Amino acid sequence: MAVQLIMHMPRPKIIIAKLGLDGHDRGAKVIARALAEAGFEVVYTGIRQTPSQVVETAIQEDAKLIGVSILSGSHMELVSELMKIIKERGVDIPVLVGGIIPPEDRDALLKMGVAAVYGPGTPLREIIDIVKKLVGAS
Amino acid sequence: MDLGDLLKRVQNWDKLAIAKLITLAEEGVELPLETQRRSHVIGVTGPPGAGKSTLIYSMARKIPQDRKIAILAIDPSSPFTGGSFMGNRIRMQELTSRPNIYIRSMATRGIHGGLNYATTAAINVLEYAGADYIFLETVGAGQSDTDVKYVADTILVLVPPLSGDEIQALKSGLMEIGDIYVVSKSDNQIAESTYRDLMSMIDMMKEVKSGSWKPIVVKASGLYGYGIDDLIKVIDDRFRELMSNGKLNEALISRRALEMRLYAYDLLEKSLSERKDLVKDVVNGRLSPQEAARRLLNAGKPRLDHVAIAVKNLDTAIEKFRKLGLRVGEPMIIEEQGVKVVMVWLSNTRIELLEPLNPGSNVARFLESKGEGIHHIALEVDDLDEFIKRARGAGLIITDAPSRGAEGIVTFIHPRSLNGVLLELVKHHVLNE
Amino acid sequence: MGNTEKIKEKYDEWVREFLLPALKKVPEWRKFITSFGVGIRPLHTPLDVRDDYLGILGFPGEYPFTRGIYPSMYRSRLWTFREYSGFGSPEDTNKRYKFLISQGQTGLSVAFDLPTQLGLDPDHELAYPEVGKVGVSIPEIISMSILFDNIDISKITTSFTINATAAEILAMYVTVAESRGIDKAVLDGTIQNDILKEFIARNLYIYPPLHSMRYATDIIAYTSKNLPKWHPISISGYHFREAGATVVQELAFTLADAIEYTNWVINRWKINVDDFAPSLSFFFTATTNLFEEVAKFRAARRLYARIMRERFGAKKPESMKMKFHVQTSGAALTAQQPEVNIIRTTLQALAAVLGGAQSLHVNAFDEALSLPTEKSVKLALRVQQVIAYESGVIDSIDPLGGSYYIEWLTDTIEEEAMKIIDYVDSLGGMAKAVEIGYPQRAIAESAYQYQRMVEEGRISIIGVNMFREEEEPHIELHRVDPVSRERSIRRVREVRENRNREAWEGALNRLRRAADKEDENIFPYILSAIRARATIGEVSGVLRDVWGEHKPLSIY
Ligand SMILES: Nc1nc2c(ncn2[C@@H]2O[C@H](COP(=O)(O)OP(=O)(O)OP(=O)(O)O)[C@@H](O)[C@H]2O)c(=O)[nH]1
Ligand SMILES: [Mg+2]
Repeated sequence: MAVQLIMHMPRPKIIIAKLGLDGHDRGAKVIARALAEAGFEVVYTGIRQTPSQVVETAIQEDAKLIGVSILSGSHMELVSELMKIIKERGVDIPVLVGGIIPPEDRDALLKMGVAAVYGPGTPLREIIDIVKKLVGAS
Repeated sequence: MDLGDLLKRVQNWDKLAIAKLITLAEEGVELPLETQRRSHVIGVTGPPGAGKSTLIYSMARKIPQDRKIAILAIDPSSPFTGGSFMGNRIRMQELTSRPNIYIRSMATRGIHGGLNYATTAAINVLEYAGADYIFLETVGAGQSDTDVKYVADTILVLVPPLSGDEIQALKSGLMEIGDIYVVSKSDNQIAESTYRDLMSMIDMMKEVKSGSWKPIVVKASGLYGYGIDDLIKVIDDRFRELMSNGKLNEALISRRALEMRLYAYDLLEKSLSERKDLVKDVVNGRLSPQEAARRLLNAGKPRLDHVAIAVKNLDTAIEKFRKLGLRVGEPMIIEEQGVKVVMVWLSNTRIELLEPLNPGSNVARFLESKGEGIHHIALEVDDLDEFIKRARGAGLIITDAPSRGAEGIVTFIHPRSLNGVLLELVKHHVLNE
Repeated sequence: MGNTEKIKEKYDEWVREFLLPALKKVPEWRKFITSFGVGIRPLHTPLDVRDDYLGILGFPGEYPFTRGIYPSMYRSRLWTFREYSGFGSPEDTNKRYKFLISQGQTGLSVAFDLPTQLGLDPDHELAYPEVGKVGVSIPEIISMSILFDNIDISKITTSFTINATAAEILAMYVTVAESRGIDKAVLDGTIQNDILKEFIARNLYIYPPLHSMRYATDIIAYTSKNLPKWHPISISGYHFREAGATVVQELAFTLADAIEYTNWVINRWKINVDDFAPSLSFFFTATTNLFEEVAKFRAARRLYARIMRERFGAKKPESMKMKFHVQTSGAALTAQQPEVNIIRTTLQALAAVLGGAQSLHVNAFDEALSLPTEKSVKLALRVQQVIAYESGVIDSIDPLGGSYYIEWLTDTIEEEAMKIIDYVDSLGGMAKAVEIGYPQRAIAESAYQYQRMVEEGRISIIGVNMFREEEEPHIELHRVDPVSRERSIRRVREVRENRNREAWEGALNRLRRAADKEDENIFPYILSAIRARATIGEVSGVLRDVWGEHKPLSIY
């Protein structure tokens, strides 16, 4: 019975960012919108973000999750920098990586502490589910 | 992190601590913040796409880096899912790493005037943190966006280059609240005529309105950076004036009143979400929407649940109540109490008709000794145990231990101890249990 | 009774007596609609086409060019086989070019890395992780020279996918040619230089829109006088589609962009339309939807011809001919079961050829996973060669022309596109529309709806939402040699150290002053700066200083 909604309650906040110089933002925007429709408050940073900008944004927004999208092949450099800064700033925010990521690189990213890695063709439902799990929303 | 520690760090402009404290405030935690005015709260409003985010970005970029700047950017929540796609920040992202700037996105989370409790709470935190400027970007949805005047010391209304007719259309709502009107996107030829149209409109309003501050009109282009220095100067001049004439402290009064109103909305929505049973009663036609709403607002106080009448023949009694035009429910048999019961629904309470099933029952004895008439009165309480404790404390006699009745847990106070009235106490089942 | 009525009568009879009874037994297994949402009838007949052969189709090489822009099309000359490629340092890429040429490629197409496209030298902090990743790093003139080492640039045509730094790259190319004793007037090739689509979809812009439009327009004005064979712009729909646009949006936005550029050149430089329009060129995608794509190309030619003649009063037929390059759709590639992509790209390439393309790139099958390997790019080239030499589809010009279905689709796409073009006109043209975010929003909406249809299974993608396999693909992937980045950085530093400081400083100062003067053509100043060995980062650094940088739009 959809008679009422709890509007006033803060929803888990999620940062979706395009890391690096790459401008392909189709996937990032589709995912940001799907998460918003799943009831999250999604801050979309737009393109050309540096790792430190993304972490700083997550801190200022008190975000529960960071999702980054990289299609330029520079994921190893950028994500390892991102993870380093997260550690340095002493915050505990799970990171999701999406993009064109070869299988070997995916394993390396997971080893760095990335919570999950998604390639093209992943169903949105799957992504929404893992996000829910990671931010502890039901 | 304990609160005292957090507060100390907030006062040192520690952005992580500010973020956490705002989250706490958003969640409704009451914070011990002594509010002393030090921030210039600047509301930035104007129709969607007017260039609000871009203008805030270009101002924040030009304000000297030894001044602390906080930006609250409000994005709409979806009325269907409650989620929000927050895109205002995109335009300001470049400022994220500047030590003197803190940016926070907030969703409207509701429909009240474009602001919510979290916004006012965040402004308190940011002022406490020592922000010199607090920019508040509204969603710019015209008329509904007027709450901003209760929190902002200065309101910037952005008007993009438009035709005269379009400005006329804007007039209602936005055109009454501005302190500074900015012709945004003034890198465009039409801007000049928009400027002239606005000027003449403001002149007309100046005659109507009085007060020490006369609204002014400036031209600026956030995208190309024209007119920004002048705009900052106008804003700073105004701040000095507000400080010297005491208006700044006056503004605190309206902010607190707004804060209370918005918090009340929050509480209301919260209790709505917790009282699904009331909604269900309304949906099922058991309660009028008005009565349900009253019950919602009086939550926590006992209510009259029903008045019970002992009758000899239920069917003839039902007939009479039907003839009065009242809605009579389905009869039910309650073996444990030895009665057959029917409820007559009124908009604010119910009448319960009782017919004994066997001669040994309570109600049969009542009929025998007193004849037909009011048998008992039932109060609905939220916390039965607490109420029983209170009754015992007052020396009243509770007849039985609480037990399951037709609609919830019930018990009775003996008439001997209460002026001859048998008082039933009911705690209804929470329906979704 | 006329012929049409007779057909109509027979058609109705066929529906009644044959089609409907058949469907009653076995209903259609899904809904049949075009990718842009128009219902498709089970059969097309003469009733679906307009009876105006000379007016709407005509002959190849003649207005309105629906059937092709050249009288003899592929019977005289095949399209240019032009595989887009570039990675690492210019040495690596030069080697790849020579390989491709040895395998039968007939034109070059340079993919630049992101720092080059965004005017950042490789030692810039933001550039570092990206150097040589999605393309080759060409931050200065020595690299440009190495890129074309032992390649005769007076003969081969080269296409440069470069926009925000198009002028710097063209200046480098011209300078390299001059140093080899080649007159710049003989240079033939293309720079993409389409900044509007960067704002709309591809996102590699630097300066705010007005300055960017000036930059793009100045290049067109310059080449129209000094590099007569050069295509100073490749107005691109490809990236709209990649970003999620429908086929109709792709076509409409591309033509709306063409209108905006043409207006700009005419208004800013007062050049007669016939003096530059022949040099404009176009770039589209080809998806796996064969017939829609063929119809799109045909509709594009007809629409463009009409726009140039009727709206801009062009007189020369050359000004009305839409020349276009096609790249098969990158978005249609799947990471799942990547070999299947070879089948997709074959259909896509076929669409380009049946649609009358002048130049074609076929994606390698592994590009949803990483940059292509030598082996996969060779296979892509082979797709073109099989179509050109084995299939026989080139034997007759516009072989699908006259198909009732294709003509109906062509008309429908044209009509739908025209609606959008009219709407953009009502907003005041594409630059204005971009400023308020109309095309960006429209594309984001289409992308989201597309994704939902995929999730709901209303669009089928083999390996993604049908016939999935759990197994991971095992294929050999291309890796960029990490040494190439260091090489790039070393070289840019060497260039900075070994130049005539005075000449360099003077050139940049003059550039700065010219940037600030609205009515100067900026290109000659960029050319002088590049000749004085300024790097790409230095040139665009000066322009950033004067013009500012554009912030991305908050559009979703
Ligand atoms: N020409 C011009 N365009 C501008 C200027 N400022 C903003 N814009 C454009 O106007 C559009 C909206 O700008 P925003 O700053 O996002 O406007 P906004 O009022 O914050 O928009 P919402 O938050 O969505 O209501 C963007 O496409 C900007 O590029 C300006 O000064 N000049
Ligand atoms: Mg905004």
